[in-house]
Amino acid sequence: MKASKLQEKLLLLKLKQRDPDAFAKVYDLYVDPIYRFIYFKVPRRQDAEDLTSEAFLKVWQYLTETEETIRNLRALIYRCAQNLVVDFYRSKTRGELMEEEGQLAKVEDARQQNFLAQLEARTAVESLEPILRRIKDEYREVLLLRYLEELSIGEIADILEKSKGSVRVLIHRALKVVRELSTSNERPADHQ
Amino acid sequence: MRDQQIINKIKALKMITPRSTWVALNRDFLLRQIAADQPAEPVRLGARALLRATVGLFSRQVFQPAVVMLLLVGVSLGGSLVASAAFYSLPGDSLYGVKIALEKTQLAVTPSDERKAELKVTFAQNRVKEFNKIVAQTGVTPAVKQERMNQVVSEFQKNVVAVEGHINKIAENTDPLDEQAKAHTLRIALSLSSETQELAKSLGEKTSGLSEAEKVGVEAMVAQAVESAQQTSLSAQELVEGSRAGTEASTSTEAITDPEVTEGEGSQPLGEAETSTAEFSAPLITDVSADADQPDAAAGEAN
Repeated sequence: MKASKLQEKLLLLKLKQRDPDAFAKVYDLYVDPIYRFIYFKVPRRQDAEDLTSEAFLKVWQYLTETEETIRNLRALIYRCAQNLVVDFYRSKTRGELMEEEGQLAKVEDARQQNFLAQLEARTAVESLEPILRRIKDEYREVLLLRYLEELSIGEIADILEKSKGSVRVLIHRALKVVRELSTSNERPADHQ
Repeated sequence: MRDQQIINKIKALKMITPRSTWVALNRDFLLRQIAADQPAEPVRLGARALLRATVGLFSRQVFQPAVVMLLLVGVSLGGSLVASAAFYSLPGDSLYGVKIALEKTQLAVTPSDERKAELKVTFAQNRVKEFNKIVAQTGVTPAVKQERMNQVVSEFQKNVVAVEGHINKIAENTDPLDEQAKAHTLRIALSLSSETQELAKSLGEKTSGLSEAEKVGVEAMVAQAVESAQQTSLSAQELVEGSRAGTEASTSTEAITDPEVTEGEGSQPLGEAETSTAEFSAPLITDVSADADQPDAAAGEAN
């Protein structure tokens, strides 16, 4: 579900006036995309859930406190999510992360198998998720925002705070990298 | 794998969604969290907020120089046509509302209380003119005529009452130690006093042109309006007294007393004020001759 621009502006104004209904509406509109956005950046489902929840709270606090004019609500929510992910990694020491990654391998496997089973049952194709987890953050972000969330180049540029031109270049490069990786996956002998 | 295949596979990732139980629980949790600082009454978006949203939406298009230019030309052309048409409108005309709104706008953009008071006097004069025209109107039923007269008189009354408010404000804001300011206030007060006096008088005279039947309906209201105007005039007179008492002490006896010079130097309203004072308000004549010194004294000091 995508909110129209006018709808977004109205929600933004209502949020500024501390309207809880507007907040609930924003949550309903964006909880899935924001969850997915964070999901690919953090190791565990639990982390993704916590950060998603926190992102919405941050947006509420920011909007009700700031005097600045916000042009784009969606971009604001994505940026809050992005900042929380950065904080998430900052707060963890290197040791903690390594340890978690060890445990993660098992969880991840179980999760992926579950997910793949679902996916294969429906589409009978291999999931891109493992590949997407391997590529650079910004490549993954542009691909997901462009093709999964179906945002315009301009909207992606707003979210990532880049020019439209560089978003186009990023999408092009990201597709190339995914193409190469998936080709090498298809030929296990070539796999590094 | 081709790009299109990759894109299709990315789209397939839409299956990744948060657990529905978590979504619902978290929704409740967040709403409870924010409930602490929400307003008591439900939020309603006013027309201003909606306008802001719409303008914000089209701001890019709206601020294109060509569009701005077109809008400016359109608004100023259309605006001036409507304004001049409204200027001649009378109560009952569709543009009369515009006329009153324009007057209010003029007031709103006027910063000083003195100028506001003068403007309101001018508006009250307009009302008297309108009243005149309505009295002369033929081809309308007495009921309609009466309604229009009532409208004009009530606007007139609003104006004069507002003038009184301004007079009080001017009196409050005048620094009792600043001679020049006091002299200035004195001039304004004199002018206002005589003009409101004149208004009261002319409105009273106008009713005599009405037929008996018409008179009955408006007489009480006109009488009230005249009273308001006289009350305003009285307030201005008090201000005159107050200012004069202050300035008299400091005015030297050598001050120039030639009223011609005063009239020549004074602003247009002042000139009018003195003439009208002489005509309509006998007790004021002495005040004028005595007070005519003040502006000159001030001018003399300035020189």
